[in-house]
Amino acid sequence: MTVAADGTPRQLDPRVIPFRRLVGWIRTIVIGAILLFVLLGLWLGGALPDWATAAAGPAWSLIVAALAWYAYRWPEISYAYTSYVLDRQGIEIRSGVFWRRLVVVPRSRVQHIDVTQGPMERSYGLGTLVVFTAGTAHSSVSLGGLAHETALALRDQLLPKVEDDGV
Amino acid sequence: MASDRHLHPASFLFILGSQARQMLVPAVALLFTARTTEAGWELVAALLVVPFALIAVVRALVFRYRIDEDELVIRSGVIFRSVRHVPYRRIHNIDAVQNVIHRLLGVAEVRIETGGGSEPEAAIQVLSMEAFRELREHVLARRAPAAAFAPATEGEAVSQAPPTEDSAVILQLSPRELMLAGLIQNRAAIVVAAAFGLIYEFGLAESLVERVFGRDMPGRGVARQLVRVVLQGQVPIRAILLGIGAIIAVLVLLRLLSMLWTLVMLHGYTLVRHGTDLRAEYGLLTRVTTTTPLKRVQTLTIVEGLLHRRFGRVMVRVQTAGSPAGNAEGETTRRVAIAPILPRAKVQQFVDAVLPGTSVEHVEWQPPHPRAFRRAFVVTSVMLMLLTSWLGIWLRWRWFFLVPVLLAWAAFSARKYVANLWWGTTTNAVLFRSGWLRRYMTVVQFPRVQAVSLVESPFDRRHGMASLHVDTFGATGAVHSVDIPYMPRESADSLMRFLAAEAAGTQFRT
Repeated sequence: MTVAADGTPRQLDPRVIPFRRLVGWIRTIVIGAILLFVLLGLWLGGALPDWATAAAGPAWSLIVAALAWYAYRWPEISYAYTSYVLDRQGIEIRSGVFWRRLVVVPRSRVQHIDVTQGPMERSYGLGTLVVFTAGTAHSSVSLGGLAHETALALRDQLLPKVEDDGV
Repeated sequence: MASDRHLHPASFLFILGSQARQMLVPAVALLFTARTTEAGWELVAALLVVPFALIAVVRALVFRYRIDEDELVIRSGVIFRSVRHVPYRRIHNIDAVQNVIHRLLGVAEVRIETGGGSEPEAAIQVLSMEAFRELREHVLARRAPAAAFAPATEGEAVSQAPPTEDSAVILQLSPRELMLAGLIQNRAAIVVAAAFGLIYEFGLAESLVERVFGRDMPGRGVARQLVRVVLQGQVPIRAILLGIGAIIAVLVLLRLLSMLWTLVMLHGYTLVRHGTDLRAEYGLLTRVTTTTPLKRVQTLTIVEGLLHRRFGRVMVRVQTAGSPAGNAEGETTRRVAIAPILPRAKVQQFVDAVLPGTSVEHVEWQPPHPRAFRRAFVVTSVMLMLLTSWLGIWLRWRWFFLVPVLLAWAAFSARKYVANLWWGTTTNAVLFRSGWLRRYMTVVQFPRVQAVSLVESPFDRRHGMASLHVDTFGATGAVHSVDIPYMPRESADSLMRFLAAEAAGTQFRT
């Protein structure tokens, strides 16, 4: 497949939402378990004063609830604020909800491109496009949550060709 | 269509070797707990080495590369798979690194460097020397031309100097200029601070204090003692005057040392343009020669501190791509400014020699957003109050009397900061000025612009502002970069589009 370099804003693949939710659940479980062990350890070891013991339960539940809500809601929110544009000049990537970022990489500045897939990404059919430039702060610009074929198509589009002497 | 090639059979050994560092900590930990049991170290070997070895074998087997028409394609990874396409045109260097074991087996670690990042973009562990040579032939045949460094193949008689050697002296620093540079920059401070630390360790400082303040000030905490004495009203005038005199003497000594240091380190500093290279020679005891191809210069920064202004001088630094060839000192030479000291009037002339056709004087400078002062004021006030909050423990309610002082200082500082914040573009470069005590101006020519980014914090959004960052090659450790805060949103947007268009229309070559 090809992605037309026509300058239309595109969004990530919708499957990124369930994918990131799943990652979020896992993170919630892991952090919750760690916190639980730490609190249990402190309690059993007698290091917790009485007020802390009473507060520990509700506090832990609150933290886990907050993390769970974040895991559920955030992928949708950040999906709405992430987009990319491919045109003749290069690629632009917008991301960030509170701190909004826009990065523009001109075609002639692309050094090389990676398309990576973690094992979970693979089962959702997603991939991450990593564009490398000769810059410092933006030596690599990644865009995750793309459909794997789209990432491959973007890569093919962006790689410098022999005759390409700048637009 | 080219076929997939695999690594040398012995590769897994080298992959294992490079993972040894990762194994080290768990190995040591396990060995520690295993030493009291029987068969301890055998178990450790089994538990650690075997899995790692298996991983190394798998990685070695899975790694494939393909020599295509225009690019090198590298596939690696089992769980986290990666396909990397490296166009030949982007490859600067292809090196073979061999240690003793590599040499024994006739293999080498191949490192491919492209234009970006500080690490080799592709490292192939390991290839046979034959495979390496074949790969290198393909790569170099289609590599970016006009590369000013490694010879294409061994045995080729290489003459790097262009046929017509036109050279022009750009800058020559007399001993007087060098001493002035030393006076302004105060480079000896670090050395002396270290020496002072040593002196303190050996107790010499205490004996000195005793001599000056008399024996009724035992122990450490000279400053605390002094404050206590002043608060109690017993002011030993003689001792204080002596103390002040000592401090002044030390400061003067520091400056003199710095002047001497600069005179010796940069003796005879001469910057010459030799064809398309910049060649700098300096040093009295160690003579250093650095060569930097003009094309490698990425950004140019003009630095003007308070003392610089007093003497009508500036300092110019450049960021270059990669390390200069043929230098004796390695890392340290990069710290030497390309123009350690330069009269302000000669700046444009100097910039013309290093970045031909770039003007730093006829620039339409743009100011920041009108509300920039308000934001800078708030930020500075908050920071000052946080920094002095610990004083509240000591002063308690009296701390609130400090607040007007802090606010006044914040207002003054913010006003000065915003008044010295400017950006502009010329026919071939983007420029950015900032700083009020120490002023910086950075120039980036359009072909040196990499990616451009815009960031809007929630505070930015409220006021319709944004920050713009112009990325360049090798900017780590730069004193100043084009990082423009408090820009009006529309200006930031249009500047970004403009720079992206200019960068897109030029090729980046080093």
